[in-house]
Amino acid sequence: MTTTISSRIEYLPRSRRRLLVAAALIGYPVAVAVLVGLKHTSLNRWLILVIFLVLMLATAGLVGVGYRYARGRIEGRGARLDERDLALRQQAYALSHRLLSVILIAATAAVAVYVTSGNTLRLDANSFLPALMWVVVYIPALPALMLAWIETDQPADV
Amino acid sequence: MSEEQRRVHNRLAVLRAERGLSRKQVADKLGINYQTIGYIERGDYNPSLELALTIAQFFRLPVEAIFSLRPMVPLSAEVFGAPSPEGR
Repeated sequence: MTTTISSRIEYLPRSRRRLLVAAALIGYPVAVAVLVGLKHTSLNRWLILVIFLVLMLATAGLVGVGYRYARGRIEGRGARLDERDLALRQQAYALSHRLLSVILIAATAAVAVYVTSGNTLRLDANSFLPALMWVVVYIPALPALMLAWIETDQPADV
Repeated sequence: MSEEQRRVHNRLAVLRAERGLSRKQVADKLGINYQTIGYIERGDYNPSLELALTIAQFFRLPVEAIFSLRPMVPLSAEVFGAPSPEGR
C-alpha cells in the first residue's frame, strides 16, 4: 500500500506535481485569509475552526506529498545521492532562495507602501503569529517543494 | 548556446538493450540511481565527464562511441555503411 502510494507520487507528471506544489504554497495563506474573513461573520465558531483545520490538513497533506516526492534527496538522509540528484538538490535550493527573496522583497515593499501612505502598522500576536507560522511551515519544506516543481517527468521504468 | 547545441546525444539505450540489461542493473554496476540512466538515455541529463568515462569503461567502448555532441548515426549505418531510414 505504502509502496503503491510512493511509486504513484514518484511517477506524478510534472504538470500535476506543479499544481500540487502551487496548492501547497497557497494553502496556508488561504486558510488564514478564510479564518480572518469568517471571523467577522455570524458563522458558528466551531464551524469556522473546522473549515480552517480542513484547509490546514489539506495543506499539510500537500506538503507531505512534496516531502515524499523528494525521497530524502534534499536532506540526503536515507537516500544514495548520485551526481544528478546532487545537481537537482542544488537547483532546488537556488530556486527556494530566489522564491523566498521575491516573497520577502514583495512583503517589504507592501509594508513600505502601506506605512508611507500614512497608515500605522500595528504588530500584535494576531498578525505576527500567522507570519511566523508561515516561516515555520514553509521554509523547511520549500526545497522539497521546489525539487518537485523542477524535476522533469520520470522516464518509464524499462 | 541553444538547447539543441548543449544536448549530448548517446547510444546508452541501444547498448543496454543489446546486452539485455535493465536500467537498474546498469545503475547498480555504476553506483548511480536507475532513474539517472533513464534521464541520460532520454537526453534530459548530461553526465559528468567522470560518469561518462565510467559508463564507457563499463561497456568497454571508447567514450565517443557512446556520447556525441552531434545526433548519433545508427550503429548499423556506422558499422556496415547501411543508410538509416532518415537518410543520415
